[in-house]
Amino acid sequence: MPDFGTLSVAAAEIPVVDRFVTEPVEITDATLLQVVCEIGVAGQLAVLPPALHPTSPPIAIWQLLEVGESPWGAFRLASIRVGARAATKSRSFLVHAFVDNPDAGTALRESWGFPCVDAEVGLRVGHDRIAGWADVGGNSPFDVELEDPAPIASGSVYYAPSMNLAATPLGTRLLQVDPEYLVKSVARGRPQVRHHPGIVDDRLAPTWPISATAATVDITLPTIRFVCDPALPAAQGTETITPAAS
Amino acid sequence: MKFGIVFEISVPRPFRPGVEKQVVDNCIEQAVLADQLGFDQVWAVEHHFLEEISHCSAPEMLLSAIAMRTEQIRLGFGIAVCVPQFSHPARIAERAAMLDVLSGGRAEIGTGRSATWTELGGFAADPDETKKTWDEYVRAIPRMWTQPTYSHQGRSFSMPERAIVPKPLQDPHPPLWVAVTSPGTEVDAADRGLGCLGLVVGGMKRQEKTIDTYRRRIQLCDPVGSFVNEQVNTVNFMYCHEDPAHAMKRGAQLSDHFNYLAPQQLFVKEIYPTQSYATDGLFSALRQESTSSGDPMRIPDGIAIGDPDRVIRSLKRWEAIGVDRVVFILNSVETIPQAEVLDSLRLFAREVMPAFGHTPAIGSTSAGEVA
Repeated sequence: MPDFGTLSVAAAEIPVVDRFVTEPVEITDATLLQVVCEIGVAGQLAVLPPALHPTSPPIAIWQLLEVGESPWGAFRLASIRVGARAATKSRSFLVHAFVDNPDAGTALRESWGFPCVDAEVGLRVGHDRIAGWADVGGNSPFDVELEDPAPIASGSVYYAPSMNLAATPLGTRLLQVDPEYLVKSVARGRPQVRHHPGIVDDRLAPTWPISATAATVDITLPTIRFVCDPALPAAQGTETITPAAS
Repeated sequence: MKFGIVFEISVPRPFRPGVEKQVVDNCIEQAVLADQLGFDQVWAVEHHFLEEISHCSAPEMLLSAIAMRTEQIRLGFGIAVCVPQFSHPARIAERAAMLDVLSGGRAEIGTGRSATWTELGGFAADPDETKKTWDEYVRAIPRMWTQPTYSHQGRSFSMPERAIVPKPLQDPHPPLWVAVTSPGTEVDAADRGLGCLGLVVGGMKRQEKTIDTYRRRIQLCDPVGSFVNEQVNTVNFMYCHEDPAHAMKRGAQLSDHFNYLAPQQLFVKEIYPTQSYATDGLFSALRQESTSSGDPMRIPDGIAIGDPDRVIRSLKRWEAIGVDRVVFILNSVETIPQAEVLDSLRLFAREVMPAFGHTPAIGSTSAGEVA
């Protein structure tokens, strides 16, 4: 049996989700920068809850999402996830989220369990590089870059569904947030991450670059269909959300 | 139809001292019995860094140990990963040739390119390049075996003229195969005159179409070796027991453990967008194949798990669509006790193999039975 995460979820400060979202939200023509790097083996288990297995090797995923129009107005969201498996399913565990629009932050926190922190979030798209960063009160947790973007087939990029930890009516749960992505165009390039310890978990420091992509996407933020007890293996602790429970 | 076994060397946690040796010893014991029972081949994969699921990073060494203890069974070295960061092609040619010499001409060589970032990333290999390097390797290796000397100026490797020794014992050289897991690789196999190894993608109807494509294309091939190896070899699970309920229970343990462990690795497709990797490779394909619904007792049709009659029915379906060989995964993280694995092999030899024209071999009764 593979290892399980060892994160103490009781000690974590987590978003409160009073009711599970029942209507999806559609976002069009967003820009999504994603950088994937390996992280250290030593700390990976401590970052994941016991419901999830680590990937082998451990990875972190940095995302910068720029949205021009949404029910909450334009916003930019920066996030860091850790690659994981819920039993045999490919997942990521959301560790940090930074947003530059408080209304969007509230909605993402209360409906999908994003642990949003107010921040300045930037995304700059150039022909030579695409750069993204977050800034919290003058301190930058990280900045990422895709260098030398070159178009690739839109079907080749993959976004792992996210598991977001939240206090819910069912108790502390991992919310499975699996947006639908319609990838309209995507470019791939060399990844670069500068990790600045302090604001984000030091165990997420990148150790080996893997890939960087920047895509134009339509995203459907989903209803919550599954949640998982973070203390139990996902194969045992997953629950289906019925409309009555929402 | 010919039958064989394949070793991943999956090792249960915790990795106590000696546990890997016990698993390897069990594999060798299974191979020795398989040889005595009339199985045709034993394959050993090449995987790196895949904790639990496969500790088989030096397959030709395992096969050499098996060669020293067996008489007839053929030895499948592969999939040998044809990526420069893993092995120079001359090293693959040398190691395969030595295995052939040691075994008295029983080696077969499977080629491939790996599907996991766990492995490719570990060697800092470029996933965009692996199809190209594989192509260059499969054209080079037969020439390294058959020419007195070899030199090359190429894309993935270059070398001045050298004698690559030893030469294989088989004349002109061992059969060459390629792992076929991605759609379209059967065409690559056919066009180069290579055997089609590990076809498990897409269910029976898809398989039938794939095999038909392979058979038609290979008639027009430009073989990379000195001969055309027109054969189709699939991978399957196997657990055979007289009691159908026990067989299903044990067999489900086998496939469930394998299917749980395999996706813990990081597949190229997940994290490195490239047209070069459209699927997750063999692990994923086998997982899908063995967990699809359709059987009241949970084991899908076509999986060689059950009592002898059911196993025969499953394998007859593969035979009907043109499969020449089936190699079986017998265990996963030692979930089935070794004695039961050996009994399953004996029962298979005694009750199943005759249905495919094989004569029961001496030793096909279990230790407690009267022959």
